[in-house]
Amino acid sequence: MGYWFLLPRVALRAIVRRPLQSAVVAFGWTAAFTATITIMGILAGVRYQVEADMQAIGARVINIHVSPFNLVQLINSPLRASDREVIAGISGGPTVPIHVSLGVVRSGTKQTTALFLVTEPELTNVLPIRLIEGRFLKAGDRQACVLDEAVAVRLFGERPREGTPWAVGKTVTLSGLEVRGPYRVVGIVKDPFRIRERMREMDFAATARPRILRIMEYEGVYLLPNQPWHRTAIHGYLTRVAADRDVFQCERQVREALAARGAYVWVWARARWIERVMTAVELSTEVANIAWLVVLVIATAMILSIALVAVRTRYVEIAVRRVEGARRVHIVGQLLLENVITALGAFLVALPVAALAGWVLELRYLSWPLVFEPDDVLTALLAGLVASLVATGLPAHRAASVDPVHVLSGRE
Amino acid sequence: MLLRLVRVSLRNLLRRPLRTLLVVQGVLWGTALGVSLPAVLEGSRTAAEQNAARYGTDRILVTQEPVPEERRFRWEQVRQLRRALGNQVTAITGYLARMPRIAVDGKSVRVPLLLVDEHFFAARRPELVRGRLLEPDDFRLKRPVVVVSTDTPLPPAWLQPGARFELPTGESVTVVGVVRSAPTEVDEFGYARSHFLRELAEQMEETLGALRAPGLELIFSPQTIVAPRTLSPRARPRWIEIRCPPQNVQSVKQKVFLWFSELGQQPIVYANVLATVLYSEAMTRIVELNRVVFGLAVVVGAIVVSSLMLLNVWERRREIAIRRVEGARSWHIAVQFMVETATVCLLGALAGVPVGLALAALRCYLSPAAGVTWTVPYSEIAITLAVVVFTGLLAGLIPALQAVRVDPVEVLRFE
Repeated sequence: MGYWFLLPRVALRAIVRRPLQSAVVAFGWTAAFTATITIMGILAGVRYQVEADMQAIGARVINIHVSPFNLVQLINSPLRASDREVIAGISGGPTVPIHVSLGVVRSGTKQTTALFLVTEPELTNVLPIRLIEGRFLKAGDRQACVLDEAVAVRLFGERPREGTPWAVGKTVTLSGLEVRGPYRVVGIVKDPFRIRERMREMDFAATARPRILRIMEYEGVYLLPNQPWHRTAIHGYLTRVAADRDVFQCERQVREALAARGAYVWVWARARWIERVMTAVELSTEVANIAWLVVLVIATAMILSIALVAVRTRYVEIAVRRVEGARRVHIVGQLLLENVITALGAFLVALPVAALAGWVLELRYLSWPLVFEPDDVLTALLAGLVASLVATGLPAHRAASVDPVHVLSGRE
Repeated sequence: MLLRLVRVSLRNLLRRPLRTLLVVQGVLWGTALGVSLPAVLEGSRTAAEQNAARYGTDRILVTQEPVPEERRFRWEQVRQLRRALGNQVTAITGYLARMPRIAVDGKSVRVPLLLVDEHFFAARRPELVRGRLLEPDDFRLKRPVVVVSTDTPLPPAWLQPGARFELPTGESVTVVGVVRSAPTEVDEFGYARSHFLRELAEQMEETLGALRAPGLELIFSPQTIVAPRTLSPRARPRWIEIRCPPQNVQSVKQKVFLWFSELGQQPIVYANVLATVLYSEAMTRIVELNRVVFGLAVVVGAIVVSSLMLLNVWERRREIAIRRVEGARSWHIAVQFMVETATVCLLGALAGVPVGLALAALRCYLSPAAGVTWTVPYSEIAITLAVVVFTGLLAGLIPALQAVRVDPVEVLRFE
């Protein structure tokens, strides 16, 4: 009992007495913990960012629009101005009509394709729109437009630091079949999809998306209608479901109400799409978790090799302890404890190093910040401690098995 | 001398197989990391450029959302686009597809009919089996001629140059050539049709909101009849097919999309996913990140191996002392330790190369995009091996100097 009580002190003294060995083992564990926590941070970051992005597009919003496959509907939309009241009545929330077309926006020599989304100022009550500059459209605005951040970046370059004017007040030229001419930029809508910031090119389906589905793309220009809605083709409605109503139930009711009068249009809750994306992301990150497991296994093997050598240099010390009365189990316990203490120390160092690695990765390579979840960090710690026990188990067993007589007589 | 030292080093390493194996595996994974991504990138880029027709990495397909007749593509637009894109592209063709019923021995057979412009065969490049392809004169003189495919479901006698049959319009056409069109292995985005993860790719396309335009299957059918568009003078092109070097795909795609968007024609542009990703900025960043991680792995590995050898020196003091007494000079001892360290690194690196290639092969196997393949990236392997061995030699310096300092008298005086 007395020896067990003394064990932590003995282990600590052994660590301090062999600075090189301890430093090497600690370095190995620091590298392993840093890699593990960073990988976990990247994966948790993806999950968090996608979830945050998805919430930013409105989980309680229902999209109602014409079918992108139906020529008749696209030319002569079955949606009417009077449907607004029906839809709003079911959802219990604000509802706005939309008209969409593809076109080109120009500013000086820069140009980009964009969705021209004709809508109403009330859109801000339907979608959780965040403006990073200026304001949204208001009734009575003439030749005014609001740009999505992605469009503004392409036309005016990266956003300058806070407080410096960027795009608001500038004039852009819109060219499309239905909309043409100079428009004054009055506001910029923040891109809700931060996740795609550095991977925009990877969206291989971007040019193959029908215009009506581009409303989810946030790469457009918001405009007010030039004429009343009853004289404009209404391609769709966006409605936000009231907090006390069920989104999926409302979705079904809207579909049924429109079908009852022969308007067989697409009605789908954004929550459904969000759920699908989240499932895919969860699955991918679960599979990607294998990366940190591999890192830990490799690190364990490396530290095992160090421990195998390191322990041989301590045979005399171990033999003396055995002669002093220490039992095998005491020796094994001491060596395991030494490694566990070293691993714990390494873990504490790894935390800020992983945070630094995350900062560098976000600065140059990733579109999302790393997220260090307490659960993940605890998992990394526990997995690392288990790995440290595995890495020390064999060397400790070998060390405890040495014959003190052999060692002290100089034969080992 | 050096060879003897290598032999001695190897013997020493083999004397402690578990320890050697554990160190070697660390180096192995670092090397595998350095080799794997370049193997996939180099292999896929080569495949994308050399087998572009097979994998569709040089193809951009343009169509439209359903639009009113007056906003449909026009033949002169295809010509204008050809002029606008100039030498960025290798071929541009416009065509439309129909599925007429052709009367065969009292029965009617549905056969895909492509009404094409004069550049169709330059873009598709099928194998000519008999006769000839369509010529400019066929278009100029509005000749009622067709080129059939060997797999076209028509009687064999009709699949010969000179054969005549009637189209549903009542027009009699003459077969002038027979071609063999290889079945298309890939879809409009370049995903392999037969890959076991094909369904996953389709789900991804759907989640991303990609439109599967009607008629896609028709235009890639290997059973088509190809006729000059002059057979139906009022018909407008429904598809524009562009061929260009894979590295131009992304920029041409954007230009075409912008060009038709401005005209309010609601374009739908399909381009090969592999060509899009391989030459993207994001891929450049991924390669850079891979190099950074490889560099870090090498540095960490070097420190661990160096420390390990340092402990080794302590463990083998007696051996070193005996060798010194036997006449070995201090530089012999130093070189022996450096060679040992370098040998461990070299072994790990050599083992890491096939592991890296195996990982690359696994990555390719799992990818539903056709043309994702791997190759042996000789130059990258040479650089990786050189970096690992050089780092190993550097890592061996400190243990070597430590070994040189072992005093035989001090070590052996207790013997």
